[in-house]
Amino acid sequence: MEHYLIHNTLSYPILSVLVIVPLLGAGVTLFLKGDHAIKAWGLLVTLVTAALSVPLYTNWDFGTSRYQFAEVTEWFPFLSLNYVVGVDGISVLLVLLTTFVMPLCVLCSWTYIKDRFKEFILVTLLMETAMIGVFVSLNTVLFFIFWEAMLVPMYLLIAVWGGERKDYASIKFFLYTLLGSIFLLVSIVALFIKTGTFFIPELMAHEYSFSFQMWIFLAFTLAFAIKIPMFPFHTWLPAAHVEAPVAGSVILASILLKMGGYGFLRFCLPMAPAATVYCVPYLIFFSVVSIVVGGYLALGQSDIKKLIAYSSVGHMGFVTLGIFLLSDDGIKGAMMQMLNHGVTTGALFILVGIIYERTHSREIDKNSALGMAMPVYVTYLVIFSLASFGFPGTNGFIGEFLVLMGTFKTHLVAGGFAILGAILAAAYMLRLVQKMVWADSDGHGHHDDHGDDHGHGDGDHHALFDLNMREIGTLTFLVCFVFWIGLNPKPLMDVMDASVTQLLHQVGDGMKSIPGGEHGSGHHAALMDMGRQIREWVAMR
Amino acid sequence: MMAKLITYLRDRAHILKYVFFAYLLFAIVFDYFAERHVPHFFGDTIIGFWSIFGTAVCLAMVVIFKGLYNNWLKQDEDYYDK
Amino acid sequence: MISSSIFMHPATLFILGALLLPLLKRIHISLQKVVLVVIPVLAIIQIYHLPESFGVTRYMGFDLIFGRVDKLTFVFLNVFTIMALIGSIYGLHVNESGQHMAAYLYVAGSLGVTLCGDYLTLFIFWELMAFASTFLVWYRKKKKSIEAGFRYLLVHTAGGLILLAGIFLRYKNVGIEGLRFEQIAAEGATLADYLIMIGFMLNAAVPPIHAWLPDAYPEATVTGAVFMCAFTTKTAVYVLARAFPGFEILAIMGAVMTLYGVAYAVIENDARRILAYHIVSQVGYMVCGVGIGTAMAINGACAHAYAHILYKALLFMGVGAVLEMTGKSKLNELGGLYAKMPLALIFTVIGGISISGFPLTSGFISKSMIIAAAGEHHMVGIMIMLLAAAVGTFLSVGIKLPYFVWFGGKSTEECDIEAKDAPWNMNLGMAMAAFFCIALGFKGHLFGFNWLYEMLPTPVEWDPYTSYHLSETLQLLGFTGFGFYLMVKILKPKPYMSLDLDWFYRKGARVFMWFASKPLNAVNEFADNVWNRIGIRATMLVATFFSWFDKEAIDWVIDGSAQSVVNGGDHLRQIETGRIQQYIGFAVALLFIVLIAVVLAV
Repeated sequence: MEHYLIHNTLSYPILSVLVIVPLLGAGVTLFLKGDHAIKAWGLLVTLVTAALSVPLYTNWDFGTSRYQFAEVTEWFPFLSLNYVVGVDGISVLLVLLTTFVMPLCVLCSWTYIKDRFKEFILVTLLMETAMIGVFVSLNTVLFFIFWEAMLVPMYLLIAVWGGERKDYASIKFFLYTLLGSIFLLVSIVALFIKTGTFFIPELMAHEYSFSFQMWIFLAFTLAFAIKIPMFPFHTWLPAAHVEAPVAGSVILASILLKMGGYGFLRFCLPMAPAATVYCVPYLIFFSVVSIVVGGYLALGQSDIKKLIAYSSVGHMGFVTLGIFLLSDDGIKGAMMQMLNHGVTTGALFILVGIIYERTHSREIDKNSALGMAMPVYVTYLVIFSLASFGFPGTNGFIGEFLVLMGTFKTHLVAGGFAILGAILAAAYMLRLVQKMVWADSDGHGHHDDHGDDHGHGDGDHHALFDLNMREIGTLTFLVCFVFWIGLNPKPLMDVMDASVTQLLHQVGDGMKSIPGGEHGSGHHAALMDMGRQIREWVAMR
Repeated sequence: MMAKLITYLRDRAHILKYVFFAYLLFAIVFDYFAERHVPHFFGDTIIGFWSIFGTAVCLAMVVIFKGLYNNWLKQDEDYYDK
Repeated sequence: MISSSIFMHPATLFILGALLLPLLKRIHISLQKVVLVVIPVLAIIQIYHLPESFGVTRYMGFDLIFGRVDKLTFVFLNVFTIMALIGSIYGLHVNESGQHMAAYLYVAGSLGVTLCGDYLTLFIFWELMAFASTFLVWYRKKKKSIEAGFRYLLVHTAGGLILLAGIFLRYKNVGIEGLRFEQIAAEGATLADYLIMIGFMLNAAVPPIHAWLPDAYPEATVTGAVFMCAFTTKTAVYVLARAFPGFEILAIMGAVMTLYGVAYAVIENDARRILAYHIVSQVGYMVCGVGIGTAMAINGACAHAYAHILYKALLFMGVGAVLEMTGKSKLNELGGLYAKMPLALIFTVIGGISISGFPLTSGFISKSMIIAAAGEHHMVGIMIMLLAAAVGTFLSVGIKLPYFVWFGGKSTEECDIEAKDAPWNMNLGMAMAAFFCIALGFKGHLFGFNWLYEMLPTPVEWDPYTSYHLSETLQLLGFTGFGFYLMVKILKPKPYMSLDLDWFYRKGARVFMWFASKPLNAVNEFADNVWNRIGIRATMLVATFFSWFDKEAIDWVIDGSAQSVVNGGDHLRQIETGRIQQYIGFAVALLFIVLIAVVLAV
């Protein structure tokens, strides 16, 4: 076990602390009274968690692919079920994303949530615990516990504080994801039976027969494809996003969806490499379909949140496309895309929440002609829209650029369709911005010298005041990342470098010794060939 | 000042017309005396070819393009908004 | 090293200027005006002192070359910076800094593309150009302008993505060396090269992907259009000349372009739209020259680009002055302005005769080079097409435009439009451009045409003032005028619009959008609800079955224990208070207990 881990040398067990602190915070919340105290406490806890996570980056060892900051505590050695946590280049970035997005969630709910604030903070903090737990677990049982632990708080977020169809959306989300989780559980148990361990790095190192790999690959893929979401398992997402409160949408878009991508990278690729390589054409097909169909569906929406939800389907399509290219550009691009999508789409949902608080409508028609009344808001809207469709200079460009570059190296047709999807993304975001900033049908544009402060669209724009300091603060924080990552992505890419190389090694090596004859030699030869190609790519770096 | 000059010229448009026709004649005559380079095609050798070319192409363009316009391309200005 | 290189790049000047302008404006408005003039002047001086290569840096494993200067680069830099100065002077009366910022970022993008040595740098500045110029359209603030701006941005983004696809493919085919921005051989050009060419062609407004130009340019601001007409298309000509000289397809498409643009210019009604279509035509000459690929043809393309920027800007300035002072640009609404705006008339006429290629103007010495190159290369068909387009040029822009705007058969007394001559800065800008148009027609090494010829990439051994050439031009233009005289009634403009290829993505797009919002959405909703109807029902059915099985079958065996669980549950429910926070509290407490147990067990 030891040679996979680098033990934590900080003065405090950082990963466990990150998992426990929100939980403790939740506990304390039970005893607080008064909305202000609760709000302040929630913000404090999430900020403290974020601050505590900074050493993950500052003390990062860039040269190793081993799991860092590891902590091992024995639980049930006879079952080889231990409490093991650790992060590698892939999970650490997702942990940082989680800890930094959570304070923003609390901030943007400041005035959005009208009642039961105590429960809201409780649920949010529980979610944070579960999410961080998912990313740091190195033991499949622990992973599964945290994965399941996420479901109930998210369900509650939608069901209690959601919109009109919250019951429908929350149950749909819960049952859909639960279905996936069942498959996850089956795989975990199967792996244990096969190898006798729950420890993830050992599971990765073990070699399985091709048919076994296919079964667990399919099971894992189903679970993660539902989560990410990949076409055709995406239908829970628009409902969930539309009905969730703004913090729920932000958590869902920024973090929950990334768990699907993380799952592919952590489980499917290293543990079932032969099956992965075999299924690459199908997965690339579904990724491209997600990109194009997501974009096309977004184009036809009149509800802003639904539009952004479908755009998420499209962006996640880029992520899976990148992952299943099984190349350095592809996986790095997919990781960058996940991080950037978290920042950008989170910001877009915050923006929607802000305008919803003012106009109480999510329809584009009711939210038009904002340009005159809310210029600061519109500026942020434009910036995040540009980042969303990947305009050069913004963070969104980096992920798309890498994935597209990787796609064109090996899958030209898929690349062509991906470009089409990128054009669609530009089209629907520009259309959204145009309609929101200027008046739609036969409005009078805006009068730039009369200072009319309500638009002439169909909306009822009472009280369209521009952003207050809290909202500006939240958005400015995110905007900094848009430009910082867009212009200087190297630090982040360096963090994941060693781990991505290691992952590709695992996939390539896993192809070396497939017992032949299971499905005919032609098939076997093709797989060996693909494996050799992957090893060559890795060697060339 | 410029305005006065132009108005002055405009009022004497008929004189300008004669000047113009004299110019046209001059152009053809000039062509007779001009030194020719290696001809690229047949038109380079004929005197006054470019006069005919100019007139013919101009008339053809007006007729053809305006014809296309009137019969097909012409639309109301708010065509795309309907 | 990189820091000093940054300041060597003329684009930096313009970017810094763009950032400074709003601040200076707050201090005093005249500071903004001073900077607007000083920066282009500095740039003009700067380009004469640029080293051959500078600003090389590494980013994500790629070599980015920000500065590569040779004669081809220089001739374009020269005219771009001069144009930046003229445009700035023309726009001095505009107080809104945003417009100037957009224009300067646009110029910076153009200079960046001209100076770059690799495709990635090119792409970055390419997108900057597209984005900044969209604002020049949006700042007009009319509803049509806003919509046109969005179409413009979308089309350019799509073009940029096609370019990017080509760049990626090229990287895949050729490796990292392929990313250097050099000439591509015509034989053995791959899909990657053609994709890049298509991306370039979109910015050069080659039909069928040209429609964005006549869509957006007439809707831009008065001063914005002057900038736009000069930079996007000529930058595209530069990149085509750099990468694709000698591709025969360009020669043919260029020749077709010249006639296509002229055709629409002859029939259009809006003055700026005529000029916009005419840009398509003139750029056709340049594209054709690039396609022919001989030294003389490339020289001709560069010379023509140089001259064209100046006289097209002059034309846009003249017509823009009318728009600014009268608020109108449609020919059927204008006429009789000759006494009210005589200076604008004179300048526009100078621009018109230059563009037509009258002797003693810049057009004469530049356009003819391309035509002669076509002739010498024995491409007679193309030569005839180019000459026919010259006829159309004079007809539409040299005669029709000034005639119907300033005369139109109306006298000053009949004209009821309120107008007077434009402000001094606009006239100064026009005068500067007009100066070049005339000066370049004369022999001379200081602002004469020899000055221009010396800047061209290869040495020029061609004299435009042969007597045959003079004769040919005098006849051609004179008799075109005769043709106009005969046809003036037919040419009278009417207030209609003409269809072009953008129909496909405007009307066509509506069909596309309808499909996205109605049928596709309906299918999606249906698939969505399938889960709802079938999925839940199936689940409930299974659940009911198991419950029955549990109670009846199993219980019957195990003594009714299941029923007692249900009963027990009822009792348990009475303990439940039905308040969420208490549930959560219990859950948290439970978790705590588990954790404590675990820790203790260790």
